[in-house]
Order: sequence, then structure tokens, then C-alpha cells
Amino acid sequence: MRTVVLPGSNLEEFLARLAVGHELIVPQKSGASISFAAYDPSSEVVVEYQRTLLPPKKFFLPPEEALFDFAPGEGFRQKPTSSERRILFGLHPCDIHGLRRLDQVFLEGYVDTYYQAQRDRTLIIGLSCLPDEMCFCNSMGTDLVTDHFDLFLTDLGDNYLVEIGSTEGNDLILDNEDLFAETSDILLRKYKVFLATRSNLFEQKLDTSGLSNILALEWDSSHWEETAKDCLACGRCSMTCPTCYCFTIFDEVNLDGASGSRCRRWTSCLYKNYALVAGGHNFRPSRGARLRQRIMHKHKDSVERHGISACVGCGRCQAHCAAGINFCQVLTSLRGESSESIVG
Amino acid sequence: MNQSLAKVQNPYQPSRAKIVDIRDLTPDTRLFQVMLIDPKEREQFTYRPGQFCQISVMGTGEIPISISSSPTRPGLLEFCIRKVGRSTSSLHRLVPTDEIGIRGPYGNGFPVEYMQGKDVLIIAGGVGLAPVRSLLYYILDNRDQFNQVTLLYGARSLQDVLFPAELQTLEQHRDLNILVTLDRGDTSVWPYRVGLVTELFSEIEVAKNTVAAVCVPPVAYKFVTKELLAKKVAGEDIFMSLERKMHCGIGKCGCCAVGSKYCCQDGPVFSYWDALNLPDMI
Amino acid sequence: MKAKPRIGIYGLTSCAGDQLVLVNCEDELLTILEAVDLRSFVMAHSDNPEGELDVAFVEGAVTQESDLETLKDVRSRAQILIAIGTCAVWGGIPYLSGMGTPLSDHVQVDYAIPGCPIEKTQLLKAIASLLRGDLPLSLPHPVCLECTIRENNCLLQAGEICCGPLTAGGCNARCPSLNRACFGCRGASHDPNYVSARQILEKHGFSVNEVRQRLALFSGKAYEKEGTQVG
Ligand SMILES: Cc1cc2nc3c(=O)[nH]c(=O)nc-3n(C[C@H](O)[C@H](O)[C@H](O)COP(=O)(O)OP(=O)(O)OC[C@H]3O[C@@H](n4cnc5c(N)ncnc54)[C@H](O)[C@@H]3O)c2cc1C
Ligand code: SF4
Ligand code: SF4
Ligand code: SF4
Ligand code: FES
Repeated sequence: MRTVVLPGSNLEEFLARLAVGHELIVPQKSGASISFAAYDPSSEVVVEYQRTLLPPKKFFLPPEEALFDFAPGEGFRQKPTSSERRILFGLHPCDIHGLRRLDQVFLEGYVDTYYQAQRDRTLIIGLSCLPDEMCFCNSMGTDLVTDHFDLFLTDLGDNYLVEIGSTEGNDLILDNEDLFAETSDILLRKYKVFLATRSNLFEQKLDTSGLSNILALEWDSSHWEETAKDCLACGRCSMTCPTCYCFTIFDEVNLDGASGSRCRRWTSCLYKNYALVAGGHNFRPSRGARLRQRIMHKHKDSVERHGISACVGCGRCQAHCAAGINFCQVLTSLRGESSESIVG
Repeated sequence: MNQSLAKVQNPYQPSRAKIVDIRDLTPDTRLFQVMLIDPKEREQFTYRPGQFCQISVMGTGEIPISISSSPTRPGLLEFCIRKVGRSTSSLHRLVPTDEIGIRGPYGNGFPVEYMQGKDVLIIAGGVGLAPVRSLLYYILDNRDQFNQVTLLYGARSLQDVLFPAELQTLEQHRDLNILVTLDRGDTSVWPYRVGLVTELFSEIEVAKNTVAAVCVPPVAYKFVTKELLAKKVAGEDIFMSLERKMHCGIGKCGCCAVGSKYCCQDGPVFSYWDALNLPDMI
Repeated sequence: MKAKPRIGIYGLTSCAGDQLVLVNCEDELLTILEAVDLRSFVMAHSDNPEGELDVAFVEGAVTQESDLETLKDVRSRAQILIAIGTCAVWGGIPYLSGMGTPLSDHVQVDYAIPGCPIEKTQLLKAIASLLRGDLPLSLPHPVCLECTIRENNCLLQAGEICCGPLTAGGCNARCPSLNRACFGCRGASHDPNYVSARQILEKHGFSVNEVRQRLALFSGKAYEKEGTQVG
């Protein structure tokens, strides 16, 4: 992979230039949390942060989105999608992996053209990070990225090492050549030190070996209901997860009682009526069954379906759970239960 | 960055369709005959028994409904719809010449090729007759490809029996064995059987080479499969059409997930063997 | 087009705040009034001459004999009865003091628009659906969904008594977005886990009483049902 160097002092200028001709999205402070939001020259770009509250999925699968307008006699008319070029700056490796997972869902099989349009118009500039006590991406193998970005910046003190992942990324460098320098051997060495240091900083660990097999065996574990007693069914874990993509589709009608729009909105498998069908049958009637669904889907079902876990270890679900449910802990105790049963 | 090579069609786009006729089947169920308005779309629309469509009533919403007609009888599409809630009530308020939206067909459908040369045992309960009606007509129109064919059908009461005239004609004139039972009924009006559909098993012989197709209410699968297994039908030869909440029908919204499978894409027809592997399937 | 739907709007014991929301829909009010045949928009009496109704909106809790009479009369004349406001849906604050009961204790309620006061957007969407001929869609989520979508930091997690997870969504997380804990004014969500919420709040140092007072304030009925389960 071609690499160049961006002196830290040039980052501000680089972003300012990117904002010309692109819709530029950067991590910013918003109240007590960090969020990806539109850049303007007064924006305070946050380059050192643990995790944004909502992941970048909100730019590809918006929380609520109109798919069609409809009117009698005219049928369903697709809502036009923007084709303005957009750059998402500052995505951590887990979030880039998160997008890969969403790509598998939305671009394989039937292509979700709304998602695809958002994806097609967006360049990704990744940014390195250091873990906090909730991050476990290195357990999930998502602590590094080698593709699915256009540029990736690793913070090495005074300089960023810039990996170039696409021709579009390369164009961004060429267009702003004066801001970049050639890579040096010292910097490459620094990069390796950074990687080694970083990988030692992870406190949260998840043993993923055989995890989907274990989960399959622990289907009937009492752990599910036990843990779910605490679950508030608030759905915050799903909203904040970079790979949770469930949505509902519904029609919203105007006051003429006839025209309107067909929309979709995020939902969560933790909600009681998620698997409820007409006639009153609920396929997941208990909180335990619903919590199990979320965990199974991440760590077992996705492995079976896509060959890869849907959890990218970003730590959001457990960092934001007001009930203090720690998903790593739940998984660890399930594993414990399996080994106990062998002993017993 | 993802470059799409060709402009793909929006999979959520409903096609415009016209209601040609509506027939009352029971107090709460109607048969809708529907025609796609665009002749090209009409021509290209092919399907298998057991597949379903997403049906839109503009302004109310979109719901999954099985195709109740058979691909062997091209022309109109038929949907047999029970009024149970918001969208189905809205559909029931429509009249012929009204327009609806259709997407599909979706899902896998029944494995008709696999059933060839074998006995076919169909078990349906309530509105579950809708998808298997498609299969029944498919078999009738290719009768020589299948061995003995039996339908066990259970309805709540006499007035809930779907297609009674059709069932009667089929039983009298064709080489089909049809047994209908009512959950409750007045035996003076209904000279046939009263009881659960599972009780019909005592009346039939199940040959070794039998494939079963089942579409019953969610709670009944466990009981029906138990009977089938007792009659020595192999797990992988029991095909069940399952119901789940569906929003997209195309494997995106996640709502219909059953373990690693999506009911809308990998189903709605699953084998008993699938159910053994996916604990919350039935 | 069929005949304009006949609509009646009634208030039992309440502050009439929810009826005001409709009056305050300045931009939309004319459109609505043109589309419907408004039969009543006053405090009703059981001898009102409005006749049959397609839709009745009823505000307020049942606190006295005359409320009950009105309610039963309205119900007998209306195809669809919609409870508007948390008092009508859950009994609201009157319920907590043992003074009032929700409409659903007495008659069949076809749809509920909770809120204290109700949200204009939800009311308008509901009216639009009714004009279309459908019951309005029910919102499946608690306040937390909207709160999270707005990327608010969680106040419950920060140690405040936030009723968001227990409360029906639809207000776009009005209060938490102003950095004020949700008071639960929209009444209970589909799946309120009071037991867990109580435990969380007790861990944060609140007394049983404080917690009860807040969590049960607007939806005492739901709290009693769910909250006292052994947990
Ligand atoms: C593959 C498949 C085939 C079906 N075939 C038929 C058929 O041939 N005839 C028939 O009468 N019914 C059929 N159903 C059931 C039918 O889809 C539901 O009865 C219908 O969705 C209820 O919608 P409603 O708005 O009237 O009910 P409400 O309870 O008001 O439902 C509101 C919303 O919930 C969702 N929903 C509720 N129940 C179901 C459900 N059972 N399945 C999926 N989504 C649901 C829908 O999105 C619906 O818009 C089928 C279901 C599936 C999954
Ligand atoms: S964030 Fe926690 S409390 Fe909320 S739904 Fe998820 S697991 Fe349950
Ligand atoms: S499951 Fe939790 S840790 Fe894993 S990707 Fe989702 S939010 Fe992040
Ligand atoms: S602040 Fe309140 S409403 Fe918002 S997520 Fe937290 S508990 Fe829910
Ligand atoms: S219905 Fe959306 S994934 Fe199956």
C-alpha cells in the first residue's frame, strides 16, 4: 500500500480544503458526547476520541428515511438521493469494519439502492485510536483495516502516516500535494511501535474461539433470562451499534388522507413487538429470548451467514447500556457455564 | 468506496396492479384476483407455489401475502387474505378496479421438483390453505409427475372453510384424497369430521416415499410434525411454510430472522431438519 | 370520495390541554375542518344531539359519575374511540391520587395518543390516517430510541431519574434533548421494566419512595401492574 506523511500541523488546512467541493463530516463535540457532524470552518474537529455516540451507519442507513412519495394515480415515486460528493473523516477501524458488515447486508443479494447511493457518494478517511476499557476490537480482529477506506491516518505524534486505499484517496493527496511529505524509515518504525503499544492497551477481552459453537449449545441457558431481567428494552445498544441494521417500513399519509410517503425507521430486536405478528403470536415472548437474539445474531448467526462475526468490538453497546449490561461479560460467563458443565 | 457498475433497480419499488375481482370466501377472508398493469411486468412475472408477494395499499402499508394461484395457470394472480389488522382491513375495503402495489415474488417456495415421483401429503390449517392451494393446483396440472396426493385441512368452524366448493370438486373429480375437519361444529350440518387436524392422521396411510407440505398456525407446527415423524416421514421430507414479521421481504430489514436464516429469503418454506438446527423456528 | 367523517371531541376531567393542541395547529386546522364534519368540540353532555360519530376523541380521566355517563354515551355513538392525553390513556395524575381512572377501564379504546400534552405531530399523523380510513400506526419504541437518535448523553446512566426507557416514544425526546430527565409524561411504553429501573435508581442512591413517585407519576396503572412483580 502506498503511504505518505501528513504533518499534524497541516491537518486543519487539509480538512478546510476537503470541505470545498465535498460535504465533509468530522467527529465533533456535541454536549458531553462526540458525534459525526457536518464540518464548518468553526467546527472543533476532535481527533482523539474513543467512540462517537452513533456510528457512521447513520449516514448510510439514516435513522428515519423516506423511500417513496406516493399519490393516488401516480403510484410510488422513489425519493431522489443526493449525489453530492461526501467525505467521512475520522472513522476508527472498528467503524470501517462496521461498514463492511453493512455492505454485506445491503449490497449482497438484492441491492439496497438507497444504501448504495449513500455509499457510492462517500469517501472514507480513517483515523487511528487508542482503546478505553470498553473497546475489544482486537479480540474481534477488527483493530486494523487494510481496505474499505480511501485514506487512513495513523497518529504518530507530530505526523500522520497516511495509507492510501483507493485511487480516489490518491486523488485527494495529489490535489493537495503541498500538504504531504514522503514516508521516512523512522516513521515506519514509529508506526510499528505504535501498533505494538496499542495492542497492549486493551483491557476488555473476549475469547472468540469456538464462540458460535458454544452459543449454539447454550441456547437454553438460564443466563439469558437472568441477564435480561436487567434489560430496560430501551434499544440503545442497537441504535449505537455500527452493525445493527434492523428497520421497519411504514406509510405516512398527509392530511389529504391519500398522498404521503413510505418511510423506514431503525428498530431493535429488544423491543417486545419486534417479533409479534397479527393474531398475537410473539416469536420471542420473553426479554431473555430477545436479548439472546441480539447476542446470537452478532456472534453466531452472522458467522454462519457471512462467515464473520457481526460484532466489531467497538464497545458502544456496553458503554451506553444504562442497565450496565456488559456483553463481553455475558459471553464470558456463557463460556464458563459450558466448561463447568463438562466438569460437572 | 463502492463503485456500482450498473444502475440497479430499486428493490422496494412496488409495481402497480389492478384488482380484477374480489370474492368473499368466509366472513373474514377474501380472494383477490389481481393483474399487473404493465404488460411487460405481467409477462415477466413467474413464480413457484409457496412464494409470496409484498402487497401495498398506498397509505396503509405493505404486508407479505402468499400467492394462492398456481403458476401453471398464468394470467391473474390470486391472493387469499384474512382480515386481522390494519393493512388487511384496508385491503378488505378495496373494490374491483382499485389499485394496489405488488413486489415479488419472494422466498423459496415448495420444492416441487423434489416432490416429483413421490406421495405428497399436504397439511393446512386456517388461512394456511392459501399457499398450499397454489401447490395443489400445480400438482393437479402436472398430475402424472406425482404419486398419491392427500390434503388434510382444518378450519375453525363450518363458515371458516376456505374454498369449500373447490375442495369438493377436487375431491370428486380428481385423483386426490381430501380430508377436512372442523375445530368445532354441529355434526348435523357437518357430516364429516370434527376435531383437530392432527386427529386426521389416524385415518390415513402414509407410504414410505412421502413428502409433506405443512402450513398451519404458528403454535400447531410442533404437533403436526410430531404426527408426521410418527408416521415415519423423514425430517428432511417435511416442508413447513412459516410465518414471521416481515417488512422488506428481501433480506435487509432483519425482522424475519430465524437464527442465521431469513424467513423472507431462505424461507418461508423450511424443512423439519432446518427446525432442528434453529431452535426457535417452530 | 365518501362523506366527510363525523368527528366529535370531548373532554372529561382534564385541563383541556390536549384539545388546545388541536386548536393550536394553526396551519393545518383549516384543512382538517374542511375534511371533516365536526359535530362537537365542547364539554359534552349525555343528551347532546350530535348523533352517530365516525371518530370520537376523548380527553381526560374518568373521575366522576358524569364522566362515565359521557364516556359511555360517546362510546355508544362512535365507530372509533381514541383516547387523547395521558389522563385518558393511563389515568395520569388523577390516577395516582386515587381520583381517576383511564378510559380503557370502562370502555373499549381503539387507539391511544398519549402525552401531557399530546404531540401535535402525532395528532396530525393520527388524523391523517383516520382520514385515510385506517387506525393510526402505533409507535413501537420508548423515548430512548428518539433520544439516542438525537445523540443525547444518557441521563439515567449519569445518575438521574430518567423515565425514558419506560415511556412511550413520540415526543422526539423533548426533555432529554434539553438535558432534562424524562418525566414519563407520555405514559408507559409497550414493555416498561420498572423492576430493573428501580434497581438501577436505587443503586444511584435514590430512595424507594422518590423512585416510585417519579416512575408512577403519569402511568400509575402500568407501574402497579409491572412494577410490583417480584424482581
Ligand atoms: C410469508 C408470509 C405469507 C403470508 N401469507 C398470507 C396469506 O396468504 N393470507 C393471509 O391472510 N395472511 C398471510 N400472511 C400473514 C399476513 O402477512 C398478516 O396477517 C398481515 O401482515 C397482518 O397485517 P395487518 O396490518 O392487517 O395486521 P396488524 O396486526 O395491524 O399488523 C401491522 C404490521 O405488522 C406487520 N405484521 C403483522 N403481522 C404480520 C405477520 N403475520 N406476518 C408478517 N408481518 C406482520 C406488518 O408489517 C403489518 O403492516 C402471511 C405472512 C407471511 C410472513
Ligand atoms: S442498552 Fe442495555 S438496557 Fe437498553 S436494550 Fe440494550 S441491553 Fe437492554
Ligand atoms: S455488538 Fe456492541 S461492541 Fe459489538 S459492534 Fe455492536 S455495539 Fe460494538
Ligand atoms: S437520557 Fe433518558 S431517554 Fe435518553 S437514553 Fe437515557 S434513559 Fe433513555
Ligand atoms: S422481511 Fe426484511 S429481512 Fe426478511
